[in-house]
Amino acid sequence: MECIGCPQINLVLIGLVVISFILFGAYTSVIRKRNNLLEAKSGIDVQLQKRQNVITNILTIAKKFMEHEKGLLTEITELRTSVAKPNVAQKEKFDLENQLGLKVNQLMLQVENYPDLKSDQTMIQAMKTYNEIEENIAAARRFYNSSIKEVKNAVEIPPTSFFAYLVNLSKFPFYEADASAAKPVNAADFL
Amino acid sequence: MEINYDKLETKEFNDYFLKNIGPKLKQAEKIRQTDLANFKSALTISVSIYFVFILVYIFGLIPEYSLEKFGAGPNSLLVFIIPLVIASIWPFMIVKNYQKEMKKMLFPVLFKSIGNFKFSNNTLKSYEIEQYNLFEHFNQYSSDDTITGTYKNINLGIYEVDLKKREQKSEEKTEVKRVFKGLICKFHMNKEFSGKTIVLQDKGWFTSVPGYDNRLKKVHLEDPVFENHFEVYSRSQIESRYLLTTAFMQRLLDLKHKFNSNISCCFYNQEIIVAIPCKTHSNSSFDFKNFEFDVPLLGPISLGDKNFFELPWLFENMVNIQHFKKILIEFISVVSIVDTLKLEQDIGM
Repeated sequence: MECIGCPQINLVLIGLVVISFILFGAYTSVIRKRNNLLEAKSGIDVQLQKRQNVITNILTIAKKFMEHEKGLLTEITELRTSVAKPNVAQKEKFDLENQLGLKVNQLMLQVENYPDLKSDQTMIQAMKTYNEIEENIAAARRFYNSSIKEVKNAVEIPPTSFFAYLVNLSKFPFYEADASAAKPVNAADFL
Repeated sequence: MEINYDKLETKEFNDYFLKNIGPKLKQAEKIRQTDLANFKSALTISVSIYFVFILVYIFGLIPEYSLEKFGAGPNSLLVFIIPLVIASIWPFMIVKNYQKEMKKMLFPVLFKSIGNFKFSNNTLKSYEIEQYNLFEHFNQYSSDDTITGTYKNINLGIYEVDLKKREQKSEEKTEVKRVFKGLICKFHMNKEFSGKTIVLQDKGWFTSVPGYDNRLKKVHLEDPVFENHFEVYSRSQIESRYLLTTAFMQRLLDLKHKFNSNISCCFYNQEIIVAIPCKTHSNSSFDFKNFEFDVPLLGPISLGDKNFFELPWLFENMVNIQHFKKILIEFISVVSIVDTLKLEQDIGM
């Protein structure tokens, strides 16, 4: 005959309840990390979109003055178009954004050769805004990488790894700097 | 123009001090001697009143000398109430007025001697302090020195405050707990931002956001050394990282080590607000100069002064350039927060 009040059965029931709580906690933790990651990714996208808008302004202003930089301006316009395409894979999108950033920085350097453009107030304001947005992009990337780290931990460490597999929390790439950004700068190239 | 400690040792500064502040110090010394004499008289009279009261009370307890025998009722001791109240307050009133008067006379010209700084009585409002979410709830607020001005084109304000919380523990017992005593320093921030980010001392499991702002969420940053010392909460994860770059985090650590104190800070309303607590005195030996009395009607009074920007106290000679140099050194160390945090630079870091 079953003994419902038996201590052993009570212990098993308590154990089951505790394990359920732990598993529920692991599951909610995975969901929270995924949502944080999506928030971080969206944060980068917002900043990149702002940058796109500022780049448009910069190109419009620069076109009036920089007749000899048509090649560079065309490259930037093409990169902008590629980045704005839908359904671009995450890693490819990061690479394209990095390339776009490098080209715009090149453009900023070329502005030094055009005194009229350099002193144009709208250009000065656009460059200042661009620099602020770049700082915000850097901050957004740091938040993204921090969220990626949390997700990686969830994917690789049990028991959260089980739930990460269930909700298909695939491994997102870290945001990495372009290889050329890590190269040493030779001042003689610019002076 | 850089402010540094070396400037205080130059001939130019010494000449300026002797020419502009020297005469005021001599005047202050005369006032001090008068106030000291008044204080001694007031203390003597107060002690005498207490002595007489105690004598009358003790003798009244002896049946042969009870007050009824002299035609006085049991409530006749009430005539001592007013003299006792005056005796309790009078000497401290002299000290408090002395401190106020000296600061009003000397501090404006003293702080002006090293830059564009103004000593004033405009204090922070308590609701402003609550908005920073740096301190637990307080319901008693007193402020002392306020200095405003600009340094390297950065607007700044330095406010000496004392925040306390009075709690009714039971019907008979109330407890007064100190929440914060020290400086609240406000500096215009060199970055545009719209939210609020606070940096608190890391107290492990016990760290939480003081005050109420449910939009503040924990931010985990990459610098492990910084994370060991501080905890960051912000309304925006991205904005907090925009403000707290890796370079800025290192500067905050440098600032903490420079003051050797548990600093905390808040980024709010285009300003960075740094709270520097004053060091509590270790009580191995009684420090009479900074002992504080909570006097009814007058509030807290110490025979010395509060811990920052201490004037020579009533028993010390006022004509003492070294003492005032010490005040300026304290002031420079606070203003140089602009240099430590590089607030005057616009390099995005």
